[in-house]
Amino acid sequence: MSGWDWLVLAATLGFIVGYGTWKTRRQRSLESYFRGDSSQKWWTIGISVMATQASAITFISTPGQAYESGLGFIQFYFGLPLAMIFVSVFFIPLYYKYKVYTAYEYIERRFDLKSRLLVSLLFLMQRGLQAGITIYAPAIILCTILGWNLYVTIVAIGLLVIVYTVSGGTRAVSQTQLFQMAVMIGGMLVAIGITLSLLPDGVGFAQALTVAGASAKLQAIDWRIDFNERYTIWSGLLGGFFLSLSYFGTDQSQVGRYLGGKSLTDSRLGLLFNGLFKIPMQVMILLAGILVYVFFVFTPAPIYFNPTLDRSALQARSEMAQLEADYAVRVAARREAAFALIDPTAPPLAHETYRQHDRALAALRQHYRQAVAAEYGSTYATDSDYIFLSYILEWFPVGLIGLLLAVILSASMSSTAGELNALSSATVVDFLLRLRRQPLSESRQVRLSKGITLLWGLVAIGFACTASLVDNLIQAINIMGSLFYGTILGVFLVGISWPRITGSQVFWSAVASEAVIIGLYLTTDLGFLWYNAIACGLMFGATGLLSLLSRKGNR
Amino acid sequence: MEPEEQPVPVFGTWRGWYLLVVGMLLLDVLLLLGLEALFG
Repeated sequence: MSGWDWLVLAATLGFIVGYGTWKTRRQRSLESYFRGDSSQKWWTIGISVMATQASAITFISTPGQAYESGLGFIQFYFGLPLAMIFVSVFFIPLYYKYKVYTAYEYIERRFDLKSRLLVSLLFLMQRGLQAGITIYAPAIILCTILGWNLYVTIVAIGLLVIVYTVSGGTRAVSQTQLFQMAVMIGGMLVAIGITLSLLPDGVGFAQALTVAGASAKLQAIDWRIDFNERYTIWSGLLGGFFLSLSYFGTDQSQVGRYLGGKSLTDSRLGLLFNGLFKIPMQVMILLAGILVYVFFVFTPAPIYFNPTLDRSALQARSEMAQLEADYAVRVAARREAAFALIDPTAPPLAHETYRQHDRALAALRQHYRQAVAAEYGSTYATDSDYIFLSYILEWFPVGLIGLLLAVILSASMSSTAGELNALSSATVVDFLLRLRRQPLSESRQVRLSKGITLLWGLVAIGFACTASLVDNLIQAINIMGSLFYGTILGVFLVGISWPRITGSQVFWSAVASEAVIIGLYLTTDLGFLWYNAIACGLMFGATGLLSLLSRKGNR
Repeated sequence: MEPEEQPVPVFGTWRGWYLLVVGMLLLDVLLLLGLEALFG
Protein backbone atom coordinates (compact mmCIF):
# COMPACT_ATOMS: atom_id res chain seq x y z
CA MET A 1 0.00 0.00 0.00
CA SER A 2 1.41 3.39 -0.99
CA GLY A 3 1.28 6.71 0.88
CA TRP A 4 -1.55 7.87 -1.41
CA ASP A 5 -3.64 4.85 -0.47
CA TRP A 6 -3.14 5.57 3.22
CA LEU A 7 -4.09 9.19 2.61
CA VAL A 8 -7.33 8.27 0.77
CA LEU A 9 -8.23 5.71 3.45
CA ALA A 10 -7.49 8.00 6.41
CA ALA A 11 -9.19 11.04 4.83
CA THR A 12 -12.36 9.10 3.96
CA LEU A 13 -12.76 7.45 7.36
CA GLY A 14 -11.58 10.54 9.27
CA PHE A 15 -14.12 12.76 7.51
CA ILE A 16 -17.01 10.36 8.16
CA VAL A 17 -16.21 9.89 11.85
CA GLY A 18 -15.47 13.61 12.39
CA TYR A 19 -18.58 14.82 10.60
CA GLY A 20 -20.86 12.29 12.33
CA THR A 21 -19.52 13.17 15.77
CA TRP A 22 -19.67 16.94 15.24
CA LYS A 23 -23.11 17.01 13.60
CA THR A 24 -24.82 15.04 16.38
CA ARG A 25 -22.82 16.19 19.41
CA ARG A 26 -25.78 17.46 21.50
CA GLN A 27 -28.00 14.70 22.88
CA ARG A 28 -30.18 15.74 25.80
CA SER A 29 -32.87 13.10 26.10
CA LEU A 30 -33.40 9.38 25.62
CA GLU A 31 -35.84 10.20 22.80
CA SER A 32 -33.09 12.10 21.05
CA TYR A 33 -30.36 9.50 21.77
CA PHE A 34 -32.25 6.35 20.76
CA ARG A 35 -34.87 7.67 18.33
CA GLY A 36 -33.06 10.67 16.88
CA ASP A 37 -35.94 12.97 17.95
CA SER A 38 -38.10 11.11 15.44
CA SER A 39 -36.75 13.36 12.71
CA GLN A 40 -35.36 10.98 10.06
CA LYS A 41 -36.65 11.24 6.49
CA TRP A 42 -37.50 8.09 4.54
CA TRP A 43 -34.41 8.12 2.35
CA THR A 44 -32.11 8.44 5.39
CA ILE A 45 -33.92 5.46 6.94
CA GLY A 46 -33.68 3.43 3.71
CA ILE A 47 -29.95 4.03 3.35
CA SER A 48 -29.40 3.41 7.05
CA VAL A 49 -31.25 0.08 6.88
CA MET A 50 -29.18 -1.00 3.86
CA ALA A 51 -25.89 0.16 5.42
CA THR A 52 -26.58 -1.72 8.65
CA GLN A 53 -27.13 -4.96 6.77
CA ALA A 54 -24.12 -4.50 4.45
CA SER A 55 -21.19 -5.77 6.47
CA ALA A 56 -17.56 -5.87 5.38
CA ILE A 57 -17.95 -9.55 4.62
CA THR A 58 -20.57 -8.59 2.00
CA PHE A 59 -17.86 -6.74 0.08
CA ILE A 60 -15.04 -9.22 0.72
CA SER A 61 -16.79 -12.58 0.33
CA THR A 62 -19.63 -11.94 -2.13
CA PRO A 63 -17.37 -11.12 -5.14
CA GLY A 64 -15.30 -14.23 -4.28
CA GLN A 65 -18.48 -16.28 -4.22
CA ALA A 66 -19.45 -14.93 -7.66
CA TYR A 67 -15.95 -15.76 -8.97
CA GLU A 68 -16.55 -19.38 -7.95
CA SER A 69 -20.21 -19.96 -8.65
CA GLY A 70 -21.71 -16.92 -10.36
CA LEU A 71 -24.99 -15.13 -9.72
CA GLY A 72 -26.84 -17.97 -7.90
CA PHE A 73 -26.37 -16.38 -4.46
CA ILE A 74 -28.79 -13.59 -5.44
CA GLN A 75 -31.71 -15.99 -4.85
CA PHE A 76 -31.02 -15.70 -1.12
CA TYR A 77 -32.44 -12.14 -1.32
CA PHE A 78 -35.67 -12.91 -3.19
CA GLY A 79 -37.73 -13.16 0.01
CA LEU A 80 -36.52 -9.76 1.22
CA PRO A 81 -38.83 -7.41 -0.75
CA LEU A 82 -41.85 -9.47 0.31
CA ALA A 83 -40.73 -9.35 3.94
CA MET A 84 -40.39 -5.54 3.66
CA ILE A 85 -44.05 -5.34 2.68
CA PHE A 86 -45.08 -7.63 5.56
CA VAL A 87 -43.11 -5.58 8.11
CA SER A 88 -44.55 -2.32 6.74
CA VAL A 89 -48.11 -3.62 6.96
CA PHE A 90 -48.07 -5.50 10.28
CA PHE A 91 -45.06 -4.54 12.43
CA ILE A 92 -44.35 -0.81 12.01
CA PRO A 93 -47.91 0.41 12.81
CA LEU A 94 -47.75 -1.47 16.14
CA TYR A 95 -44.37 0.00 17.04
CA TYR A 96 -45.76 3.46 16.32
CA LYS A 97 -49.00 2.79 18.16
CA TYR A 98 -47.17 1.87 21.38
CA LYS A 99 -44.38 4.47 20.83
CA VAL A 100 -41.66 1.95 21.65
CA TYR A 101 -37.90 2.46 21.90
CA THR A 102 -37.18 -1.23 21.32
CA ALA A 103 -39.09 -3.91 19.46
CA TYR A 104 -39.26 -5.94 22.68
CA GLU A 105 -41.33 -3.29 24.46
CA TYR A 106 -44.18 -4.36 22.21
CA ILE A 107 -43.92 -7.90 23.65
CA GLU A 108 -44.61 -6.59 27.16
CA ARG A 109 -47.56 -4.51 25.93
CA ARG A 110 -49.01 -7.53 24.19
CA PHE A 111 -48.00 -10.33 26.61
CA ASP A 112 -46.05 -9.75 29.83
CA LEU A 113 -42.72 -8.67 31.28
CA LYS A 114 -41.12 -12.13 31.40
CA SER A 115 -41.74 -12.72 27.67
CA ARG A 116 -40.21 -9.30 26.87
CA LEU A 117 -37.13 -10.01 28.97
CA LEU A 118 -36.75 -13.47 27.38
CA VAL A 119 -36.72 -12.20 23.76
CA SER A 120 -34.61 -9.17 24.63
CA LEU A 121 -32.08 -11.42 26.36
CA LEU A 122 -31.97 -13.78 23.35
CA PHE A 123 -31.31 -10.73 21.18
CA LEU A 124 -28.54 -9.40 23.47
CA MET A 125 -26.76 -12.77 23.60
CA GLN A 126 -26.85 -13.28 19.86
CA ARG A 127 -26.12 -9.70 18.76
CA GLY A 128 -23.50 -9.11 21.46
CA LEU A 129 -21.39 -11.98 20.12
CA GLN A 130 -22.13 -11.03 16.51
CA ALA A 131 -20.84 -7.45 17.06
CA GLY A 132 -17.41 -8.88 17.89
CA ILE A 133 -17.47 -11.00 14.75
CA THR A 134 -18.54 -8.00 12.61
CA ILE A 135 -15.19 -6.42 13.54
CA TYR A 136 -13.10 -9.58 13.66
CA ALA A 137 -14.06 -11.25 10.36
CA PRO A 138 -12.87 -8.47 8.00
CA ALA A 139 -9.92 -7.62 10.27
CA ILE A 140 -8.44 -11.11 10.02
CA ILE A 141 -8.68 -11.09 6.20
CA LEU A 142 -7.24 -7.55 5.88
CA CYS A 143 -4.39 -8.40 8.24
CA THR A 144 -3.59 -11.63 6.43
CA ILE A 145 -3.33 -9.90 3.07
CA LEU A 146 -1.82 -6.57 4.11
CA GLY A 147 0.39 -7.78 6.93
CA TRP A 148 -1.24 -5.42 9.45
CA ASN A 149 -1.29 -6.26 13.15
CA LEU A 150 -4.60 -7.98 13.99
CA TYR A 151 -5.06 -6.44 17.44
CA VAL A 152 -4.19 -2.91 16.30
CA THR A 153 -6.68 -3.23 13.40
CA ILE A 154 -9.49 -4.51 15.64
CA VAL A 155 -8.93 -1.82 18.28
CA ALA A 156 -8.70 0.92 15.61
CA ILE A 157 -11.98 -0.09 13.89
CA GLY A 158 -13.70 -0.52 17.27
CA LEU A 159 -12.56 2.82 18.70
CA LEU A 160 -13.53 4.76 15.56
CA VAL A 161 -17.06 3.33 15.78
CA ILE A 162 -17.27 3.94 19.54
CA VAL A 163 -16.34 7.64 19.14
CA TYR A 164 -19.43 8.64 17.16
CA THR A 165 -21.86 5.97 18.31
CA VAL A 166 -21.37 6.86 22.00
CA SER A 167 -21.44 10.58 21.38
CA GLY A 168 -24.34 10.93 18.94
CA GLY A 169 -26.51 7.79 19.37
CA THR A 170 -28.99 6.84 16.66
CA ARG A 171 -28.63 10.10 14.69
CA ALA A 172 -24.85 9.74 14.49
CA VAL A 173 -25.30 6.16 13.27
CA SER A 174 -27.61 7.16 10.43
CA GLN A 175 -25.74 10.38 9.49
CA THR A 176 -22.47 8.48 9.09
CA GLN A 177 -24.22 5.66 7.27
CA LEU A 178 -25.25 8.09 4.48
CA PHE A 179 -21.58 8.77 3.71
CA GLN A 180 -20.51 5.18 4.30
CA MET A 181 -23.14 3.98 1.82
CA ALA A 182 -21.96 6.55 -0.75
CA VAL A 183 -18.38 5.27 -0.32
CA MET A 184 -19.54 1.64 -0.66
CA ILE A 185 -21.62 2.14 -3.82
CA GLY A 186 -19.10 4.57 -5.39
CA GLY A 187 -16.19 2.23 -4.58
CA MET A 188 -17.89 -0.81 -6.11
CA LEU A 189 -18.79 1.13 -9.29
CA VAL A 190 -15.14 2.22 -9.53
CA ALA A 191 -14.05 -1.42 -9.04
CA ILE A 192 -16.33 -2.51 -11.91
CA GLY A 193 -15.04 0.32 -14.16
CA ILE A 194 -11.37 -0.42 -13.42
CA THR A 195 -11.84 -4.15 -14.03
CA LEU A 196 -13.49 -3.46 -17.40
CA SER A 197 -10.58 -1.17 -18.31
CA LEU A 198 -8.07 -3.91 -17.42
CA LEU A 199 -9.60 -6.38 -19.90
CA PRO A 200 -7.67 -6.85 -23.18
CA ASP A 201 -8.44 -4.75 -26.27
CA GLY A 202 -11.57 -5.93 -28.03
CA VAL A 203 -13.09 -7.33 -24.81
CA GLY A 204 -15.85 -4.99 -23.65
CA PHE A 205 -18.79 -5.48 -21.28
CA ALA A 206 -20.83 -7.58 -23.76
CA GLN A 207 -17.84 -9.86 -24.53
CA ALA A 208 -17.11 -10.20 -20.81
CA LEU A 209 -20.71 -11.32 -20.24
CA THR A 210 -20.41 -13.82 -23.13
CA VAL A 211 -17.36 -15.38 -21.47
CA ALA A 212 -19.05 -15.39 -18.05
CA GLY A 213 -22.19 -16.91 -19.60
CA ALA A 214 -20.19 -19.69 -21.25
CA SER A 215 -18.98 -20.83 -17.83
CA ALA A 216 -22.54 -20.74 -16.42
CA LYS A 217 -21.73 -17.79 -14.14
CA LEU A 218 -24.89 -15.95 -15.25
CA GLN A 219 -27.28 -18.74 -14.20
CA ALA A 220 -29.04 -16.81 -11.47
CA ILE A 221 -32.16 -18.88 -10.95
CA ASP A 222 -32.39 -22.52 -9.94
CA TRP A 223 -35.95 -23.82 -10.28
CA ARG A 224 -35.25 -27.28 -8.80
CA ILE A 225 -37.04 -28.31 -5.62
CA ASP A 226 -34.12 -29.68 -3.65
CA PHE A 227 -33.85 -29.15 0.12
CA ASN A 228 -30.15 -29.99 0.16
CA GLU A 229 -29.32 -27.30 -2.41
CA ARG A 230 -28.58 -24.14 -0.42
CA TYR A 231 -29.68 -21.53 -2.98
CA THR A 232 -32.77 -22.22 -5.09
CA ILE A 233 -35.60 -19.85 -5.92
CA TRP A 234 -37.80 -21.68 -3.40
CA SER A 235 -35.35 -21.55 -0.48
CA GLY A 236 -34.72 -17.90 -1.37
CA LEU A 237 -38.40 -16.96 -1.49
CA LEU A 238 -39.62 -18.93 1.53
CA GLY A 239 -36.51 -19.29 3.72
CA GLY A 240 -35.27 -15.81 2.75
CA PHE A 241 -38.71 -14.35 3.53
CA PHE A 242 -38.72 -15.69 7.10
CA LEU A 243 -35.08 -14.76 7.67
CA SER A 244 -35.68 -11.19 6.45
CA LEU A 245 -38.87 -10.99 8.50
CA SER A 246 -36.95 -11.90 11.68
CA TYR A 247 -34.08 -9.57 10.87
CA PHE A 248 -36.01 -6.49 9.76
CA GLY A 249 -39.12 -6.98 11.90
CA THR A 250 -37.71 -8.07 15.26
CA ASP A 251 -33.94 -7.43 15.39
CA GLN A 252 -33.35 -4.19 17.28
CA SER A 253 -30.29 -3.31 15.15
CA GLN A 254 -32.74 -2.89 12.23
CA VAL A 255 -35.86 -1.83 14.15
CA GLY A 256 -33.81 0.97 15.76
CA ARG A 257 -33.02 2.32 12.28
CA TYR A 258 -36.62 2.88 11.25
CA LEU A 259 -38.12 3.79 14.66
CA GLY A 260 -36.41 7.19 14.34
CA GLY A 261 -38.65 8.05 11.37
CA LYS A 262 -40.36 11.42 11.11
CA SER A 263 -43.65 9.60 10.66
CA LEU A 264 -45.07 6.15 10.09
CA THR A 265 -44.97 6.92 6.37
CA ASP A 266 -41.24 7.70 6.46
CA SER A 267 -40.45 4.46 8.31
CA ARG A 268 -42.48 2.45 5.82
CA LEU A 269 -41.01 4.14 2.77
CA GLY A 270 -37.52 3.59 4.22
CA LEU A 271 -38.08 -0.16 4.40
CA LEU A 272 -39.70 -0.29 0.96
CA PHE A 273 -36.67 1.61 -0.40
CA ASN A 274 -34.59 -1.30 0.90
CA GLY A 275 -37.01 -3.74 -0.79
CA LEU A 276 -36.57 -1.94 -4.11
CA PHE A 277 -32.78 -1.56 -4.15
CA LYS A 278 -31.36 -4.49 -2.19
CA ILE A 279 -31.39 -6.97 -5.08
CA PRO A 280 -29.88 -4.52 -7.62
CA MET A 281 -27.13 -3.65 -5.10
CA GLN A 282 -26.29 -7.32 -4.51
CA VAL A 283 -26.29 -7.97 -8.28
CA MET A 284 -23.78 -5.14 -8.64
CA ILE A 285 -21.46 -6.71 -6.02
CA LEU A 286 -21.80 -10.15 -7.62
CA LEU A 287 -21.13 -8.61 -11.03
CA ALA A 288 -17.84 -7.18 -9.71
CA GLY A 289 -16.83 -10.75 -8.78
CA ILE A 290 -17.89 -12.12 -12.17
CA LEU A 291 -15.80 -9.49 -13.94
CA VAL A 292 -12.81 -10.47 -11.78
CA TYR A 293 -13.36 -14.03 -13.06
CA VAL A 294 -13.36 -12.75 -16.68
CA PHE A 295 -10.22 -10.72 -15.95
CA PHE A 296 -8.46 -13.90 -14.78
CA VAL A 297 -9.57 -15.69 -17.96
CA PHE A 298 -7.38 -13.30 -19.96
CA THR A 299 -4.62 -12.83 -17.35
CA PRO A 300 -2.89 -15.90 -15.85
CA ALA A 301 -4.93 -16.78 -12.77
CA PRO A 302 -3.37 -18.11 -9.57
CA ILE A 303 -4.49 -21.61 -8.65
CA TYR A 304 -4.86 -20.66 -4.98
CA PHE A 305 -5.59 -17.23 -3.45
CA ASN A 306 -4.96 -17.58 0.31
CA PRO A 307 -1.61 -15.81 0.87
CA THR A 308 -0.93 -17.16 4.36
CA LEU A 309 0.78 -20.28 3.09
CA ASP A 310 4.37 -20.14 1.98
CA ARG A 311 4.12 -20.59 -1.82
CA SER A 312 7.70 -21.73 -2.24
CA ALA A 313 7.18 -24.50 0.33
CA LEU A 314 4.05 -25.58 -1.55
CA GLN A 315 5.76 -25.53 -4.93
CA ALA A 316 8.61 -27.65 -3.55
CA ARG A 317 6.18 -30.56 -3.22
CA SER A 318 5.97 -32.55 -6.42
CA GLU A 319 2.16 -33.06 -6.32
CA MET A 320 1.55 -29.32 -5.95
CA ALA A 321 4.13 -28.38 -8.56
CA GLN A 322 2.51 -30.80 -11.03
CA LEU A 323 -0.96 -29.39 -10.35
CA GLU A 324 0.31 -25.82 -10.81
CA ALA A 325 2.01 -26.75 -14.09
CA ASP A 326 -1.16 -28.46 -15.40
CA TYR A 327 -3.18 -25.44 -14.32
CA ALA A 328 -0.91 -22.99 -16.18
CA VAL A 329 -1.19 -25.04 -19.41
CA ARG A 330 -4.99 -25.17 -19.12
CA VAL A 331 -5.22 -21.44 -18.32
CA ALA A 332 -3.40 -20.66 -21.57
CA ALA A 333 -5.72 -23.00 -23.49
CA ARG A 334 -8.81 -21.44 -21.91
CA ARG A 335 -7.57 -17.98 -22.85
CA GLU A 336 -7.31 -19.03 -26.50
CA ALA A 337 -10.78 -20.60 -26.31
CA ALA A 338 -12.16 -17.36 -24.81
CA PHE A 339 -10.80 -15.29 -27.69
CA ALA A 340 -12.36 -17.77 -30.12
CA LEU A 341 -15.64 -17.53 -28.22
CA ILE A 342 -15.99 -13.77 -28.55
CA ASP A 343 -14.96 -13.74 -32.18
CA PRO A 344 -18.08 -12.87 -34.25
CA THR A 345 -17.12 -15.66 -36.66
CA ALA A 346 -16.77 -18.15 -33.79
CA PRO A 347 -17.06 -21.80 -34.81
CA PRO A 348 -20.12 -23.61 -33.43
CA LEU A 349 -18.00 -25.69 -31.05
CA ALA A 350 -16.30 -22.67 -29.41
CA HIS A 351 -18.70 -22.72 -26.45
CA GLU A 352 -18.14 -26.38 -25.75
CA THR A 353 -14.34 -26.10 -26.04
CA TYR A 354 -14.34 -23.17 -23.61
CA ARG A 355 -16.56 -25.04 -21.17
CA GLN A 356 -14.29 -28.09 -21.19
CA HIS A 357 -11.24 -26.03 -20.30
CA ASP A 358 -13.16 -24.12 -17.64
CA ARG A 359 -14.45 -27.29 -15.99
CA ALA A 360 -10.99 -28.84 -16.06
CA LEU A 361 -9.55 -25.74 -14.39
CA ALA A 362 -12.25 -25.76 -11.68
CA ALA A 363 -11.45 -29.43 -10.99
CA LEU A 364 -7.68 -28.74 -10.80
CA ARG A 365 -8.29 -25.85 -8.39
CA GLN A 366 -10.51 -28.04 -6.23
CA HIS A 367 -7.90 -30.81 -6.23
CA TYR A 368 -5.21 -28.31 -5.21
CA ARG A 369 -7.30 -26.93 -2.35
CA GLN A 370 -8.01 -30.45 -1.07
CA ALA A 371 -4.29 -31.21 -1.15
CA VAL A 372 -3.54 -28.00 0.78
CA ALA A 373 -6.30 -28.78 3.30
CA ALA A 374 -5.01 -32.33 3.79
CA GLU A 375 -1.57 -30.94 4.58
CA TYR A 376 -2.42 -27.81 6.59
CA GLY A 377 -5.95 -28.32 7.94
CA SER A 378 -9.56 -27.76 6.81
CA THR A 379 -9.45 -23.96 7.30
CA TYR A 380 -7.33 -23.84 4.13
CA ALA A 381 -9.92 -25.77 2.09
CA THR A 382 -11.46 -22.53 0.80
CA ASP A 383 -9.74 -19.40 -0.44
CA SER A 384 -12.66 -17.49 -1.98
CA ASP A 385 -12.61 -14.78 0.74
CA TYR A 386 -9.16 -13.72 -0.48
CA ILE A 387 -9.93 -13.49 -4.22
CA PHE A 388 -11.33 -9.96 -4.44
CA LEU A 389 -8.89 -8.28 -2.03
CA SER A 390 -5.77 -9.90 -3.45
CA TYR A 391 -6.96 -8.95 -6.96
CA ILE A 392 -7.43 -5.30 -5.90
CA LEU A 393 -4.04 -5.11 -4.21
CA GLU A 394 -2.20 -6.53 -7.20
CA TRP A 395 -3.97 -4.80 -10.08
CA PHE A 396 -5.56 -1.54 -8.91
CA PRO A 397 -3.85 1.83 -9.41
CA VAL A 398 -2.40 3.77 -6.48
CA GLY A 399 -5.06 5.68 -4.53
CA LEU A 400 -7.91 3.42 -5.56
CA ILE A 401 -6.61 0.61 -3.35
CA GLY A 402 -7.13 3.04 -0.43
CA LEU A 403 -10.66 3.77 -1.68
CA LEU A 404 -11.57 0.06 -1.85
CA LEU A 405 -10.19 -0.52 1.64
CA ALA A 406 -12.32 2.45 2.76
CA VAL A 407 -15.34 0.61 1.28
CA ILE A 408 -14.59 -2.47 3.37
CA LEU A 409 -13.88 -0.57 6.59
CA SER A 410 -16.94 1.68 6.07
CA ALA A 411 -19.09 -1.43 5.75
CA SER A 412 -17.61 -2.90 8.91
CA MET A 413 -18.14 0.35 10.83
CA SER A 414 -21.68 0.96 9.59
CA SER A 415 -22.96 -2.43 10.70
CA THR A 416 -21.02 -2.37 13.99
CA ALA A 417 -22.44 1.08 14.80
CA GLY A 418 -26.02 -0.12 14.22
CA GLU A 419 -25.34 -3.13 16.44
CA LEU A 420 -23.79 -1.18 19.34
CA ASN A 421 -26.64 1.34 19.29
CA ALA A 422 -29.21 -1.48 19.37
CA LEU A 423 -27.42 -3.41 22.13
CA SER A 424 -27.34 -0.27 24.23
CA SER A 425 -31.02 0.58 23.68
CA ALA A 426 -32.15 -2.97 24.56
CA THR A 427 -29.94 -3.07 27.69
CA VAL A 428 -31.00 0.39 28.90
CA VAL A 429 -34.69 0.41 27.96
CA ASP A 430 -35.62 -3.27 28.41
CA PHE A 431 -33.55 -3.99 31.52
CA LEU A 432 -31.95 -1.09 33.40
CA LEU A 433 -34.74 1.51 33.21
CA ARG A 434 -37.57 -1.03 33.17
CA LEU A 435 -36.41 -2.90 36.27
CA ARG A 436 -35.36 0.20 38.24
CA ARG A 437 -37.72 1.39 40.97
CA GLN A 438 -36.90 5.14 41.05
CA PRO A 439 -37.03 7.03 37.75
CA LEU A 440 -33.86 8.70 36.42
CA SER A 441 -33.59 12.28 35.17
CA GLU A 442 -33.33 12.80 31.38
CA SER A 443 -29.66 13.79 31.55
CA ARG A 444 -28.73 10.79 33.70
CA GLN A 445 -30.63 8.50 31.30
CA VAL A 446 -28.53 9.83 28.41
CA ARG A 447 -25.30 9.48 30.42
CA LEU A 448 -26.25 5.91 31.34
CA SER A 449 -27.02 5.10 27.65
CA LYS A 450 -23.68 6.53 26.54
CA GLY A 451 -21.87 4.48 29.19
CA ILE A 452 -23.64 1.28 28.13
CA THR A 453 -22.88 1.95 24.42
CA LEU A 454 -19.20 2.38 25.37
CA LEU A 455 -19.32 -0.81 27.41
CA TRP A 456 -20.79 -2.84 24.52
CA GLY A 457 -18.15 -1.35 22.21
CA LEU A 458 -15.40 -2.51 24.55
CA VAL A 459 -17.04 -5.95 24.86
CA ALA A 460 -17.13 -6.21 21.03
CA ILE A 461 -13.45 -5.22 20.78
CA GLY A 462 -12.47 -7.64 23.57
CA PHE A 463 -14.45 -10.43 21.98
CA ALA A 464 -12.98 -9.74 18.52
CA CYS A 465 -9.46 -9.88 20.02
CA THR A 466 -10.07 -13.30 21.56
CA ALA A 467 -12.02 -14.71 18.56
CA SER A 468 -8.91 -16.08 16.86
CA LEU A 469 -8.14 -18.24 19.88
CA VAL A 470 -11.18 -20.47 19.41
CA ASP A 471 -11.50 -22.79 16.40
CA ASN A 472 -14.63 -22.41 14.25
CA LEU A 473 -15.98 -19.67 16.51
CA ILE A 474 -17.51 -17.63 13.69
CA GLN A 475 -19.41 -20.62 12.45
CA ALA A 476 -20.64 -21.41 15.97
CA ILE A 477 -21.94 -17.87 16.47
CA ASN A 478 -23.65 -17.76 13.10
CA ILE A 479 -25.38 -21.05 13.89
CA MET A 480 -26.42 -19.75 17.30
CA GLY A 481 -27.97 -16.68 15.66
CA SER A 482 -30.04 -18.74 13.25
CA LEU A 483 -31.19 -21.01 16.10
CA PHE A 484 -32.77 -18.12 18.05
CA TYR A 485 -34.16 -16.03 15.20
CA GLY A 486 -37.19 -18.16 14.32
CA THR A 487 -38.49 -18.38 17.89
CA ILE A 488 -38.23 -14.61 18.40
CA LEU A 489 -40.12 -14.08 15.15
CA GLY A 490 -42.72 -16.67 16.24
CA VAL A 491 -43.38 -14.72 19.48
CA PHE A 492 -44.03 -11.53 17.47
CA LEU A 493 -46.20 -13.25 14.85
CA VAL A 494 -48.37 -14.96 17.48
CA GLY A 495 -48.70 -11.60 19.27
CA ILE A 496 -49.77 -9.81 16.11
CA SER A 497 -52.16 -12.41 14.74
CA TRP A 498 -53.69 -14.26 17.72
CA PRO A 499 -55.39 -12.09 20.35
CA ARG A 500 -56.44 -15.05 22.54
CA ILE A 501 -52.90 -16.20 23.41
CA THR A 502 -51.58 -15.14 26.85
CA GLY A 503 -48.08 -14.29 28.12
CA SER A 504 -47.44 -17.59 29.93
CA GLN A 505 -48.59 -19.58 26.88
CA VAL A 506 -46.20 -17.73 24.56
CA PHE A 507 -43.33 -17.92 27.09
CA TRP A 508 -43.48 -21.70 27.53
CA SER A 509 -44.08 -22.24 23.82
CA ALA A 510 -40.92 -20.22 23.10
CA VAL A 511 -38.92 -22.37 25.52
CA ALA A 512 -40.32 -25.57 23.92
CA SER A 513 -39.80 -24.32 20.35
CA GLU A 514 -36.19 -23.42 21.13
CA ALA A 515 -35.59 -26.89 22.58
CA VAL A 516 -36.99 -28.55 19.42
CA ILE A 517 -34.90 -26.31 17.12
CA ILE A 518 -31.71 -27.12 19.04
CA GLY A 519 -32.69 -30.81 18.89
CA LEU A 520 -33.18 -30.55 15.09
CA TYR A 521 -29.77 -28.89 14.75
CA LEU A 522 -28.07 -31.65 16.73
CA THR A 523 -29.76 -34.56 14.94
CA THR A 524 -30.35 -33.46 11.30
CA ASP A 525 -28.51 -31.76 8.41
CA LEU A 526 -31.35 -29.34 7.60
CA GLY A 527 -30.22 -26.02 5.98
CA PHE A 528 -30.23 -23.10 8.43
CA LEU A 529 -32.58 -21.07 6.21
CA TRP A 530 -35.40 -23.45 7.12
CA TYR A 531 -35.10 -23.09 10.92
CA ASN A 532 -36.94 -19.74 10.93
CA ALA A 533 -40.00 -21.09 9.15
CA ILE A 534 -40.06 -24.25 11.30
CA ALA A 535 -39.73 -22.31 14.58
CA CYS A 536 -42.64 -20.06 13.56
CA GLY A 537 -44.75 -23.13 12.81
CA LEU A 538 -43.80 -24.63 16.17
CA MET A 539 -44.72 -21.43 18.00
CA PHE A 540 -48.20 -21.39 16.44
CA GLY A 541 -48.68 -25.12 17.12
CA ALA A 542 -47.51 -24.94 20.76
CA THR A 543 -49.41 -21.77 21.70
CA GLY A 544 -52.54 -23.19 20.03
CA LEU A 545 -52.21 -26.41 22.01
CA LEU A 546 -51.66 -24.60 25.33
CA SER A 547 -54.61 -22.33 24.65
CA LEU A 548 -56.82 -25.35 23.90
CA LEU A 549 -55.70 -27.12 27.09
CA SER A 550 -56.32 -24.06 29.25
CA ARG A 551 -59.82 -23.64 27.79
CA LYS A 552 -60.61 -27.30 28.50
CA GLY A 553 -59.24 -26.85 32.05
CA ASN A 554 -61.50 -23.85 32.61
CA ARG A 555 -64.64 -25.73 31.62
CA MET B 1 -51.03 15.88 12.67
CA GLU B 2 -48.34 14.43 14.96
CA PRO B 3 -47.04 10.99 13.93
CA GLU B 4 -48.28 9.36 17.12
CA GLU B 5 -51.80 10.66 16.52
CA GLN B 6 -52.05 9.05 13.13
CA PRO B 7 -54.53 6.21 12.91
CA VAL B 8 -53.02 2.88 11.88
CA PRO B 9 -53.29 3.05 8.09
CA VAL B 10 -55.16 0.31 6.35
CA PHE B 11 -53.48 -1.88 3.78
CA GLY B 12 -55.35 -0.32 0.87
CA THR B 13 -53.74 3.13 1.15
CA TRP B 14 -50.35 1.55 0.59
CA ARG B 15 -51.28 -0.78 -2.24
CA GLY B 16 -49.43 1.25 -4.87
CA TRP B 17 -46.11 1.09 -3.02
CA TYR B 18 -46.44 -2.59 -2.28
CA LEU B 19 -47.22 -3.32 -5.91
CA LEU B 20 -44.13 -1.32 -6.88
CA VAL B 21 -41.89 -3.46 -4.64
CA VAL B 22 -43.42 -6.72 -5.90
CA GLY B 23 -43.16 -5.40 -9.47
CA MET B 24 -39.49 -4.61 -8.94
CA LEU B 25 -38.88 -8.13 -7.61
CA LEU B 26 -40.54 -9.61 -10.69
CA LEU B 27 -38.57 -7.25 -12.92
CA ASP B 28 -35.34 -8.29 -11.19
CA VAL B 29 -36.14 -11.96 -11.78
CA LEU B 30 -37.07 -11.29 -15.42
CA LEU B 31 -33.87 -9.30 -16.01
CA LEU B 32 -31.75 -12.08 -14.51
CA LEU B 33 -33.52 -14.67 -16.66
CA GLY B 34 -32.98 -12.41 -19.69
CA LEU B 35 -29.29 -12.05 -18.89
CA GLU B 36 -28.92 -15.81 -18.77
CA ALA B 37 -30.90 -16.29 -21.99
CA LEU B 38 -28.82 -13.68 -23.84
CA PHE B 39 -25.32 -14.66 -22.70
CA GLY B 40 -25.67 -18.07 -21.02
